Amino acid sequence: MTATTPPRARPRPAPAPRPRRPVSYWAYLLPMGVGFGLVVLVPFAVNVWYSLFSWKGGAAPRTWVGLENYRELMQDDVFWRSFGNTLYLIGAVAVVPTVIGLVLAALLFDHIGRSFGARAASVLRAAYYLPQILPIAVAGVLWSWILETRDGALNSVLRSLGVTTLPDWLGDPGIALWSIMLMLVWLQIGYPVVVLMSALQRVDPELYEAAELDGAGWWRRFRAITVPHIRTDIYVVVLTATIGAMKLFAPVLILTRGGPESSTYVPSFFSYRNFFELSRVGYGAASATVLAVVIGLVAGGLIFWQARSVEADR
Amino acid sequence: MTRTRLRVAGAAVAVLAGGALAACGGGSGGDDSTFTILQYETTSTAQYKGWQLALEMFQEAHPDVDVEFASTSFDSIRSNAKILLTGDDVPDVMQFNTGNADGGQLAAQGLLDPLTDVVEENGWDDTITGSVAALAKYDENGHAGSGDWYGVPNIASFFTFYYNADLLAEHGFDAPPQTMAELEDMFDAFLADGVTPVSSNAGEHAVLQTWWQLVSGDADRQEIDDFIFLQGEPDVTSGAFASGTERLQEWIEKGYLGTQLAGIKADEMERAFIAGEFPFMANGTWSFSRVAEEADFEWGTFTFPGAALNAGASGHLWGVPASSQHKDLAYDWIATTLSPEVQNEIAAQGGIPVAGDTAAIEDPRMRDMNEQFDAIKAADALSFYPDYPVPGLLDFQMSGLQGMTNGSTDAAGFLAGLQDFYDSGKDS
Repeated sequence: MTATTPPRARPRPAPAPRPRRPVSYWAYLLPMGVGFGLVVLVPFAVNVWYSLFSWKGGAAPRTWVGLENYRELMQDDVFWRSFGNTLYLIGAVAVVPTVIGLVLAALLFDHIGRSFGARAASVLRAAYYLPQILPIAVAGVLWSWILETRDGALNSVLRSLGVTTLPDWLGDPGIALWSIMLMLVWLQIGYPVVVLMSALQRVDPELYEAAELDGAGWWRRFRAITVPHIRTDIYVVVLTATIGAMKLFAPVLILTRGGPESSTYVPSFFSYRNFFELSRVGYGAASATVLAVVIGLVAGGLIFWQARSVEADR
Repeated sequence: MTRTRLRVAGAAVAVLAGGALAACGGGSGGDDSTFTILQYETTSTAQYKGWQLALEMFQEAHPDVDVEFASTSFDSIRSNAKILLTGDDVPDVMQFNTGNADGGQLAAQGLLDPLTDVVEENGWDDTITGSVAALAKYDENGHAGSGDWYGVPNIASFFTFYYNADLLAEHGFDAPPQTMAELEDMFDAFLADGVTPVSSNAGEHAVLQTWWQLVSGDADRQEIDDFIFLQGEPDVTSGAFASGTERLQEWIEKGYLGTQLAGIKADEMERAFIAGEFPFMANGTWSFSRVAEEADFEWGTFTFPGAALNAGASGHLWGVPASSQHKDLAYDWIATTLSPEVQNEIAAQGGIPVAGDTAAIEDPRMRDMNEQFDAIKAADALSFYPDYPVPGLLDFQMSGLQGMTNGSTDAAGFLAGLQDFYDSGKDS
């Protein structure tokens, strides 16, 4: 665009307010920046500092050990197992609920909404979202009742169906992690359903009508119209859910406390336990630092992937 | 005016938020003019009820003092006591958990005041002696058993058998067993009738304490003290540790304790016993009140027959934080909780006071349980609990015993791992 000079004959317009210099926008970011610095950056820096010491906490002496805690962490089987478990949890929190949530959102929006009205779709959406508003402690206690070995709800149902060898949901190290994953899928589904249904509001209905006139079935419309149009929202859901899965703590604390036989350890519980229960403050801080770095890298990678994908769509 | 508040310590939230966990200060406590008592018992326990009486007596004696009786949870104290006590606003007297991993560390870190002089002045060491007193004292490294007094116990607990007399009678037994052989014969008879003998769990602590009781049953004082108080070089792969652990494995393999134990927690174990599904429950005296309130059959308790020592400990120690601003009042509070009125109230409520008068207890079952404790105390036969010596031992033992109940490890494997964990924890 080239600059033009207004014709002299015209009355001079009232001077437009001077465009603010871009730097002034920073003023709006300042409170958040200060808050972020105080709540995240400073504590993180202190955490990194503590991770370089051997320290029992409290008024106990601190001994400088440099990177020794990190070296030990790299050789700690339980720590690595806890990261391995995180991959399963990403499946349970990010992958499975997003896939199910996407299909449910499309069904509610496209099928239920049309056949039974928007209100029916809204009621169902709220029902899926309900577990999300439950305090995690309540959800955990609820699921511990469901999964109880001897007279839990799930095993009672299985018993009534004639199953004689009942699973030990939270006591069998081969099953316990899957039990936690089951709860997490239940807990998480409402989130993608709500986000993706609101994303679907943006899709031009004429596209669906045109596709229908051309004879496209539901699955074809889902693949060709729904998914491409809300891809950015899907990225957001996957990103936030993945980060949520990596720092997951409360369900493990409530359902299994890392057991049985340490089979359900996750990194945040590992940090918690070292920090508070074993009084290994430096070691716990080192594991928290590693977790924060890994989460940062994964989040950065996902954002990069999303940005590149959006760019490719243009 | 007394303000009774339920406080849930928020420091653990800092963990979830990530970041500088140790940097968090704050905690519970009143201002300079308020005398703050911090405790972690739930309201249904005998000691909580006893302390309500202590609170009344304390206020009568100090009508001008503004008292705050603050409560938190056991886990919160375990996790957050160090943060709480390094903050600016600490309670004046507080309850803390027994053992090297908990009270020992608070003492070694200078967060609690030594109380030896106060204990001697008040003569508390005349009534609280031997193994009942052992876990109130910590040395400069935070190891229990010697050094200064840092806490004063109010109550005790021990591991025992609860039995369903009606169910025993149904299967032809008119009295609880007198010897271990008789007990195991009864177990076999129940199994033959298709009844699992013992309600237990490995999702929480019952199998852990059963294991420790079986070890204690074969052990002598020195063997236990060496392990608990980090004396010498205990070899946990031999002696009573080996024989007790092998017996536990035998019990597991024979099915005395049932199956799928790792998924069962204490509540489910208690409910099953109270529902009359099991003739026995191996469990601590802390379940007495619940069984007394809910069981609708004839029942009683008996300690593990023929045991040399008995799992159990005095605990629930009152300590005075180094930064307490009202230390004299704190000593007076402790004296009040140890008074005969309060101690007998704890007994009357189903607890086991360390300085009570057993003969004054009216309920025969409670009197019987307190007599069992008196006998253990007189014989100096408390063997404490197995997680006290080293931080993290509880989770290690829990995990290992879950492995034994699941069949993924055996007695020898568990003990070999225990030796490694204990030795490395002891040296750290």
